This record gives sequence, C-alpha cells and structure tokens, in this order.
Amino acid sequence: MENIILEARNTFSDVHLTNDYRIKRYRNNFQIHLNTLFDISNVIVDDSQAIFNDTALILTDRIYHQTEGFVIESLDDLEDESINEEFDNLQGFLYEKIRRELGMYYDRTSLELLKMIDRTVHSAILSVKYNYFSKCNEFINPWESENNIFTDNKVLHLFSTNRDEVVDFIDDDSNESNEISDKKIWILAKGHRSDTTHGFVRDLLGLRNTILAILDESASSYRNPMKTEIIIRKLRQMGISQDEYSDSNIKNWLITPLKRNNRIGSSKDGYFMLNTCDDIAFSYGSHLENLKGYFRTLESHRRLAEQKNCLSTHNLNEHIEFLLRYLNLPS
Amino acid sequence: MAILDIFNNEIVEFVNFPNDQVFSIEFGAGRGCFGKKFLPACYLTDAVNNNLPHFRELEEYSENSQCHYLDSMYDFINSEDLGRTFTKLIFCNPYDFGVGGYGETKQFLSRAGQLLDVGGEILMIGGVKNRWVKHKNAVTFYEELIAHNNLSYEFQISQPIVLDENHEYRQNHVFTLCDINVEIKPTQMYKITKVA
Ligand SMILES: C[S@@+](CC[C@H](N)C(=O)[O-])C[C@H]1O[C@@H](n2cnc3c(N)ncnc32)[C@H](O)[C@@H]1O
Repeated sequence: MENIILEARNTFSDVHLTNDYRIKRYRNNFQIHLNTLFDISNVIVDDSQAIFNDTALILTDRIYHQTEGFVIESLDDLEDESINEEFDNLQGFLYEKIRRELGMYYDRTSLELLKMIDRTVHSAILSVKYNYFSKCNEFINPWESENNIFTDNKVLHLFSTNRDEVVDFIDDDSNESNEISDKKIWILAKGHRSDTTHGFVRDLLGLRNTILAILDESASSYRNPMKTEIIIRKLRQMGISQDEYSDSNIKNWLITPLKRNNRIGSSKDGYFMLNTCDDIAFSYGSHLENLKGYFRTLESHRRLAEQKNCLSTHNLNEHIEFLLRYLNLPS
Repeated sequence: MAILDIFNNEIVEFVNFPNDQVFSIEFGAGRGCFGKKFLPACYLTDAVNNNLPHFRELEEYSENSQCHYLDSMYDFINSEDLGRTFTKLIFCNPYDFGVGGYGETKQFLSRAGQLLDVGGEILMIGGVKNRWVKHKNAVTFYEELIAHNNLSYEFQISQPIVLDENHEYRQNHVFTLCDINVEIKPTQMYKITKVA
C-alpha cells in the first residue's frame, strides 16, 4: 500500500507547470470531478436517508462544500496513524514543490494564489488518500479527475459559482439565454506565468432543472412526450454549443440521471414529467415491454447455448440468477 | 416550545447589530443557535440565510421549526469590517472557510485577528475529518505562516478536547449540515487565543 503514496510523490515531483493557456482541458477534468462527486453524494444521501433540502437544487459554493464534506466524512475511514502521518508529509512536500515550481511567480501575499495552491494540494492529496477508504471500489474516485488538472493539464486551479471570486473582468457572453447564463462554475487556473486564465463549466444540477422546466411546460404528461432531439435542440437554442457538450454528453450527464432518479418518465416516444399515477404507470409499462423483450432474447440465447452444449463452459443463467437475487429467492 | 439557554432563559435576538452590549459572535451559524444557547449573550450570523427568521415570523417555535436564529447576515470572509472587536468568535462545523489550507488559514486568522481583542479567543468546534476546523491543520498552517513571516497577528492554539456524546454540547444540541438534512457529530474542540 505504501507504494501508492511513494508513487504519487514521484508523479507530483515530475509535474512542471505549463506556460501555455490556449487549450482549456482543465474544464473537462473539473466537470468529471463534479459529476462523480454528486453521483456519489446521491447514493450516500439515499443510504443514510438524509435529504437534499430544496435549496440544493442549484449549485452554489455553499452546497458544493457541504456536499464534498459530507462525501469525505462518509467515506474516509482511514484511522491508521502512521499512514495519516505519511499523508501529512506528502502534503508538506506538495506545498513546497508548488512554491518552488512557481519560482518568481510565487507571491506569498496574494490570497488568490495561495488559495489556488490550497485547492490544488487538497485535491491531489484526496486523489491518493481515496484509495485507502474501504469503500473505494464502490465508486469512481472524484478527486482523480480534479487532480489531473495539476498532473495532466499542469495548472493550479480554484473555482467558485460566484463569478466575482474568480474573474475580475466581464467577458462578453454573447448568445446565452438567462435560463442558463448564471448556472456556471467558474474556474481560475494558473501555470508558470504571472497571469491567470479562466474558464467555466455548467452547473449540471441547474441544467437538469432547466430540462425539468422545459418538460414541465411542454411535456407535462405521458400524453405529450418530448423526444431527446427536441430537448437537445432547446438547450442548443439557449446557448449550449456542441463543442461544450456533445449530444451524448447531454444524454448521459443530464437526461439519464433524471430518469434514474425518478424525476422523469420515458417511453419510445420521448420523455415526460411523472406527475400522476397514469404517468408513472405509462412509463412503467414501456419499460416493462423493454424488459420482456430483453428477457426473451436472453432466454433464446440460453436455449441455443443449451443445444450447442455450451452451458458447462459458459454461464448463460445470469439473467435468472439476477432476478432471483433481486427477489431474494434461493437459487 | 421556546428555546432555553443553559441558564434557563429564553434565547433572544439582538436588534442593534453590531452595536449591542454583546461580546461574543458566532459565524456560519446556519440554522443552529449554538452561541445563544451556551453563552450568556452572543450574536449569530451567517453569510447565507434560506430560512424563516423565527424571532420575527413565528409565534411559537422549537428547535425543529427549520428557522434560523440569526441576528444578521454576515460573511466572515467577504463582508465589510464591523468596526468593532469581540472577546469570542465561534465557529461550529464551518465549510468553505477556516483552516483548510495555508492560504485559507492566512485569510481566516487575518480576519479573526481584526475582529478579536488581544486576549480574546476563537472557539473551533468540528469533526477531525473536516479540514476547515481540524486541529492539526490549524497548528501546521499557523506555524508555517509564522515561520514565513506571513501573518500580522500572533496566536496561541490550545490542545484539542475530545467531544464525545456525553459532552453537554452534544447532549443539548444538534448540529446540522444546512443543505443536506443530516446531523453532524463534531468530535473535537479547541481554542485559538490572540496574543498580539
Ligand atoms: C455546515 S453549516 C454549519 C451550521 C451550524 N454552525 C451547525 O454546526 O449546526 C456551515 C455554514 O457556514 C456558512 N458559511 C460558509 N461560508 C461562510 C462565510 N464566508 N461566512 C459566514 N458563513 C459562511 C454556510 O452558509 C453554512 O450555513
């Protein structure tokens, strides 16, 4: 296990901050961090029967930090004093490394810079420590992608939903509608240069609510479902470009989670709000048909395997075992 | 039922913030009323407030009414200076401000230094896994700041005291995360005294 810490130390010591601000890859890493962190928090909230208050429907700094704290405190069960001490040492090492790396650009009086270093060190340490949590294999490590901002994109970073904390001049954000323009997380980044650069990612919690609002207006029941393409077109009209989020990003990061969390129903004709019993039953019926279809296919595969005598070497009973497990029946 | 402090008096609002005869102040109080419950007179403040002000709106209230007990909104990091000092600053389970890192500690202690009398103290309460209050962080980052000559005030940090479930703070008070409805069980408490 100790190798993990040693390896990380070596990786960190090889990082050299960039002086090229042209490509903003750090945005993607930060987006993945947010997505994975909030996915974990949803699972833990469910398990612990806690609930997000209504205020948690759009992302603010306050919600980010409470959520991150909640996730850390739920997962971090590392009690071994000697390992914890090694992490303290690694932290000290990283602070020193970054100060040396910045060289003439290190200004110990700049709170903004010092806090960028804090966030960078924090995510770097957690990305490693995560591997020592007993539940580490149940989830994707959310700090790994954030730490890639340092190790791969080679910049320090800091973020806030409050634009004034990060950006001190106003960009001209051209063709964005009001529904989405304030649902952003601003990221400030700095490499081996005197100046900083910035970018943003969208608040996906907020955008999911935008989709709910769209459906609420035009697809309020199973009688008027809305196709994926139309949802995507509406978001594009609001100013979300293809470069920023591809169609499949929108499907995977916005629509599917809404479906999984019981916020919207679907049928082959599209998505709709789940307001009434009829809505729920309709969506259920549509998924039931899918399930039956899959089940028949799986069964006919199993029968074919039986005919061809494959069953001694290949397990094609898994769909049955899955059902039995789900229903808690002995196999 | 009205909330009583540990002296059995009903907790009260102070209406002339920050100019009452009140020398203790809690920051980031959220929906809690810790300071008013355990100290004879204490201001409660928070940067954000999403709840009903119970002192004004409700005839009857209890600790479960989901109200806040704030005397004023105040952002410890970004609000204007209050133009006065206190003998006690209280922080229970802070997130996003505190001793989270070197720069954050510099910011936190610089603000606290402005707001504290010499000899006054900061009461820090929280869990050991919360980096914004963790005792070890306070010590590490404070010592480094002093070594780098990077802080305008001098402090003394006490040893941490373990808060187990029998402690009066845990027996008589429920701490909560504000936006995720979940109880927090703080496990550690210590003081940072302003020496100069
Ligand atoms: C987890 S809650 C703690 C609530 C309460 N102290 C308790 O322990 O039950 C953290 C609170 O800190 C507040 N907060 C965050 N940043 C702040 C700042 N810069 N100044 C004042 N309050 C802040 C948040 O609004 C939130 O209400």
